[in-house]
Formats: sequence, structure tokens, C-alpha cells
Amino acid sequence: MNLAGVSRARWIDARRAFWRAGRPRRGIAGIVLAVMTAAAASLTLIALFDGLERAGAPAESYARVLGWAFTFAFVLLALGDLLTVVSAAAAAPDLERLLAAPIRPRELLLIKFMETLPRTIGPVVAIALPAALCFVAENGGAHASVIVVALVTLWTAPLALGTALAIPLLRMAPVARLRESIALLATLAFLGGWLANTFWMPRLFASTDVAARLRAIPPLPPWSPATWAADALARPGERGLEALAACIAASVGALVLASGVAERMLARLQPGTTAVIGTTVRGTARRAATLTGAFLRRDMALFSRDWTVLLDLVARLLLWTLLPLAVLPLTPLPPAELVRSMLVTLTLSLGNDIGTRALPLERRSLAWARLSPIGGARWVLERALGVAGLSVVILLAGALIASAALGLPLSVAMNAFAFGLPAAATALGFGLLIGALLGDPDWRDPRAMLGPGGRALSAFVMLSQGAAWVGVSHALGPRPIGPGWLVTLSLGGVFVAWVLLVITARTVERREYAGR
Amino acid sequence: MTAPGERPLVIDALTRRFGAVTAVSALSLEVRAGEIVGFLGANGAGKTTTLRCASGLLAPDDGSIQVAGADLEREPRVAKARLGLVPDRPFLYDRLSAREFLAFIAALYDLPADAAARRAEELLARLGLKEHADRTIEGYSLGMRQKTAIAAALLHSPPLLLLDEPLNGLDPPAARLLKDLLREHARAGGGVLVSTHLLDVAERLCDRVVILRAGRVVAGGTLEDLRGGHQERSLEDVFMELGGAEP
Repeated sequence: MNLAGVSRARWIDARRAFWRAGRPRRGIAGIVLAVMTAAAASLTLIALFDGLERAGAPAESYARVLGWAFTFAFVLLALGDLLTVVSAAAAAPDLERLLAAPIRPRELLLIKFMETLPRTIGPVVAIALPAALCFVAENGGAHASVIVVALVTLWTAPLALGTALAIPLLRMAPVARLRESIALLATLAFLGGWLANTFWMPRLFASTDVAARLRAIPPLPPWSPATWAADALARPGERGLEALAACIAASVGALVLASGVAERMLARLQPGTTAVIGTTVRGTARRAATLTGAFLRRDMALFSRDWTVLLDLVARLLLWTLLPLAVLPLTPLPPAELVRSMLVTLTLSLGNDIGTRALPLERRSLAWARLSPIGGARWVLERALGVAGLSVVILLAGALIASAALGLPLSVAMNAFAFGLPAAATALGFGLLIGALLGDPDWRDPRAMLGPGGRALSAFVMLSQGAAWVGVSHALGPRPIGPGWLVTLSLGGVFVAWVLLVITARTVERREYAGR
Repeated sequence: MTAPGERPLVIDALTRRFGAVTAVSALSLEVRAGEIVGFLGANGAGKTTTLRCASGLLAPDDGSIQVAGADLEREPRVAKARLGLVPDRPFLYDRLSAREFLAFIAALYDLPADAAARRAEELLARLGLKEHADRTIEGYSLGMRQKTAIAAALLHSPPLLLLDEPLNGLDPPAARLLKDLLREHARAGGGVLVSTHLLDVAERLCDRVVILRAGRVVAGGTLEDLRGGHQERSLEDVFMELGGAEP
């Protein structure tokens, strides 16, 4: 194999994803997002290490915090890498050509590693690197080469292990199904980290007994490359050297394993042999009585049959609703205001997870909005009606369940529900617009129907408008809100949502479909 | 299907640019009722752009398009109701079955429920999809997807059918069936504009042929016209002479 030639082609391909014809391209959003995440992670870790210093915490605590940061990055990488390898190995259009080329499987593996580098380096740059640098800035000690080895271990070990696991899995299950399952696992891992962070961090800073809190940090799993990488940086002397050796052994071992699996099985991997067969459903050729009915029937089928999207949605709806409980020990809220806050955070999820996905979920079939005689505006209206109907049901269920759990009367639940409706309307309006503007019709991961830039924008917009609604709720006091305010807020929310829908409709109407 | 004297498609001086590139330049053509017109040209000649402009998926920079008497710009809904498109890559919903998909398309075109159901079943049967019609489309082969797209385009029996490389992925019996369907459509008074790279198909199927080169029509007419009195010349000879390679 002409390694230099292959590398050059891959380099040109990767470079053009970020910059082409003198202009930044879509890939640049990923870099911006990684830098912003790294900055946020750095600020959090600096604050955390300062807190530890003020509390006079032992060195062990620093090592544990570093270790858990590395572990979080490692888990994200392990699941993300498996997903990336599955996509790159079996779904990439060049696999058949590469399998037919006169190259050895381990050379093919090397090409695929080069290809996946930009897509797998994110957690290392955004989480592990800031953690290592913050730790060293606070504690000093580690040599630059040790940091490099630790970070390389965190990148190579999951990538190589993911490859070794993905290749046999690809011989057993259809690519699409495998990718969906791994995407769901990645979602759950991310949400687990988010949940732990959300519940633990505010309590850590609020508590007067930080040392006691820190003692509660669970010890690191002993047989993890993330632990060894943290120990290589944090432990002095012989123990640090042992951890460093373990890091190198883990990287080399994982690479050898991946290479061996590739050598034995990659050549026999035939794309398409485990294709999706399709599910038999009880369909009807009879159209619904109304256009709205047809859209609802179609949406129900699309949502309910895409179980990864559905489960991802349910997990996010639950977690967002529970978010206000996380800050309750820090800022006690009266029950009526707490329920309102929970519904507002629920509406963030409605906008971010349902609204933004409503149009990208249709992929390129959104072209029917332009091809069929109903027009883009009607299409958007039907989509909005569908997501609004679903959202109202979810919001009502959220209001009733939260109120019942807090022992509040039905009138308070209905009052909170009425307050949540305009918040949901604005969130869905923003969500639909962001989905129309920045949706990726070729999405493979249900979490990534928007590109990185779109996800960042959506999170920013949702959190901003959520903060505004929580502020309004707080300003209106601890009691149920009066009818005058509810009507005013509803009219305001509906007006904003209507303006956003009009812009969304124009966006969909003007979208062109040039083909291929 | 088409009102007497009404032409299913009239394109007048269509121009479409993508940045600095002019994909289609002052292109004019028409498809008459009962006629199958072949649309030929090398890769990048502007066939797909023309078909997408004619179906409303792309907006022209200049020129006008009339579909069965309705101006696509001024009366887009009327015009779109009168055409059916089979694109090069079908617009399908993977998680719907073919039967559900056709029911949804029937609602988009506001077809009466009973008539639409009967027509859908008839098309599914003719295209050999009936026994797969309750399976989700994600499991379909390329040919089955293409057949589903053809059924969707024919469902509302439009006066104008636009097809972009419709034989892609079809096996010989399915290709034969499609050609029969197109002839039937034309016999019933509809018009068909079909782009293809298969010159022998164009030669045997089409009443007229339009050859495109660099976004412009370089030749058009019946095969006899294009041969210019030289009976020994095939369409391939004519095509290579007029539209073969892009400049």
C-alpha cells in the first residue's frame, strides 16, 4: 500500500470537511463546539480543584476527580468509537472498494483509523485534555510526555477495542440496527454522566462539609485504562510508573487485538449480507379522512417504529423534568412554583428533542412538502399540529404526575399546566425553526438529527428561553397564577410561536432539492 | 386526463444557475398529450435540473413552466396536482409500508378515499409489490423502492409524468412493465418526459427525443427527424454526434 498517497487523499478529504473554496464548511462547527466544551470543562474543573484546595482535601480526592473525568471521556469514547467504527467500517460507501483492493486487512484498518480520527478525537480534546491540564496546573508534577501517553491511551484503547468488538458484531446484525443500539447506549451513558454531574456538583459547592462529600466520591474501577491514565498523572514515584506502563500496555494490547481481529475477520465481512429485512405491519391503503389525520397517522408510525428515537426521547423528557429537583436543596421552591419550573424544563425537552427533530425525522422525503400540491406552509402547520398535540399530552401528564407526587390539588396542577402551554408553544416554535434551518437529512444517530452547530444553538436557545420562563414564574410568586396573567402569557406565547412558524414555513417553502 | 388541445408540459426559455454555473440555459420544450418524450444528454447536461424545475423542486431563475395549462409559478398547487415525478433517488419513508406510504400520498393529493385505495391496490398488484406491501420500506431492494416511487407518481393519474432515470435498479420484467405503464399512460392522453441513458430504450419507447448539451437543447424531434434521412444511423450515432461529451 502507498501509505503516503492514501494519507494525502484522506488529509485532503478531512481538510475539505472544515474549509473549502476559501470558506468554512459544516465540519468547522464541530471544532468550535469542541473548543467551547473544553472551555466549559476547564472552568468547571478549575472551580472544582479550587474548592478542593479550600477544603484542604487530600491528594487522593484530586486523583479521583481526574480519574472520573477521564472515565467519563473514556465511556463516551468507547460507545462513540464503536458507533463511529460501525459507521465507518460497514456503512461507508468505500468499504467494498477497499475490500476488493490489494491491501492487507490491517492496512485497511489503518485507513479506517485515519478516517475516524476527526470524529473520535472530540472527548479527548473537550474533556480529557482540559482535565489533565487543570490537574497539572493545580498540582504540578507530571511531565508533558506522561500527559501525551495518558491522552493517547484514552484515544487508542477505546477505538481499538471498539473496532475489535464491532467487526464480529457486524457479521451478526444489520448495520442499521447495530448503529441504532449503540447510539442508544451512547445516549444513556451521556445522560448518566449528565445526571451525576447535575445532582452532585451543586451539592458539592453548597455543602459546608466538602471533605465529607468528597469522601463519598466512589473509588475508580481498578482495571480501567482511564484509571491508569489518571494514576500515571496523579501518583508519584513507582506507582505512577506502573500506571504509565499499564497505559502503554493497554494501548498496544488493544491495537494488537484489533489488528488480529481485522486480519482474521475483516476480509470476510461482506457489506449488505446482514441487511435490514423490514418489519411487517398492519397497513391500510385507505387514506385518513383528513390531511391532519393522515399526518398524525404517519407521524405515529414513524415515531413508534423508530425505537431508538422514542427511547432517547423518553429518557430526555424524564431527565429534563427532574432537573429542578436537583437544585431544590440549594434553592427551596414553594410547591406550586416547583411544579411550574418542572414543566418549564419539560418544555425545553419538548422543543429541543421533539420540535427540532420533527422536520429532520422526515429526511429527504421532506421534498414532498415542495413536490405535492399542499405547499410548505401547510406541511409545517400539519407538523406543528402533530408535535403540539403530542406535547400537550406529555405536558398534561407531567403536570398531573408532578402535582400528585407533591400532594398538590388538581387546581394547582391545571394552573401549572396552563402556565406550561405558552412555554411549550415558544419552545416548539424555536425547535421547528432550528430543525428546518439546521437539520441534517442524512442523520445516522438519532441524537444528531442536527449538526453540532445546530445542537449547540438549540441548547443555547432552549436554555435562554427556559431561563426567561423560570424567571417569569418566580416573578409571579409562589401561589397559583391568576387568570389575567395566564391569558396574557398565553397570547404572548402563541404570538411568538406563530411568528416562528411563519419563518419556518418560509424556510421549508424555499428549500430546494437539486438531487443526488 | 388532459383537456383537448392542452399540452401536459410547456417549458419556455428556462434558465437555472447554481452560483457561477449555468446548469440550464434558455431551454424550451414541450410534451404533447399522448406523447412519450425521451430526454437525453451526457452526465451534467442539465436533465435532472430541468426535471426538478418542471416538478417544482427547484425554482427557475428565468423562464416559465406550464403543467397541463397551469403556470407552475402563479398556480403552483394546481400545477403540482397535475404532475407526478419519479426522481433519481425516491423520496420514501423507510418506516412506513408501501401501502401506508401510498395512503399518505393519496391524502397529500386529496384523492377520494375509496378510489385511492382501489388505485393503490391496482398499482401494487401490477408492480408486483402486493405481497410486500405491508413490509416497511427499509427492507426493500433498490428495484422495489423504485417501483414504490412509480406507484406514488401514478397514484393520482396525473396528466404529466416526469421520470428521472426510472429504469435504475429495475430487473428486465419490471423494466418491461414500466414501459407498458408509460405507454398506457400516453394512450390515455397523458404526457411523459423521461430522462434515460439507455439509448435503445429511448429508441423503442419514445415518440420524440430531446438531446441536451451543456444545458441547451441541441436537437429534438422524432427519430426519423434526427436521422435526417439516413436510415442506417442509430440514435447512438446521432447522440454521439450531438450530445455525446460535454465541452
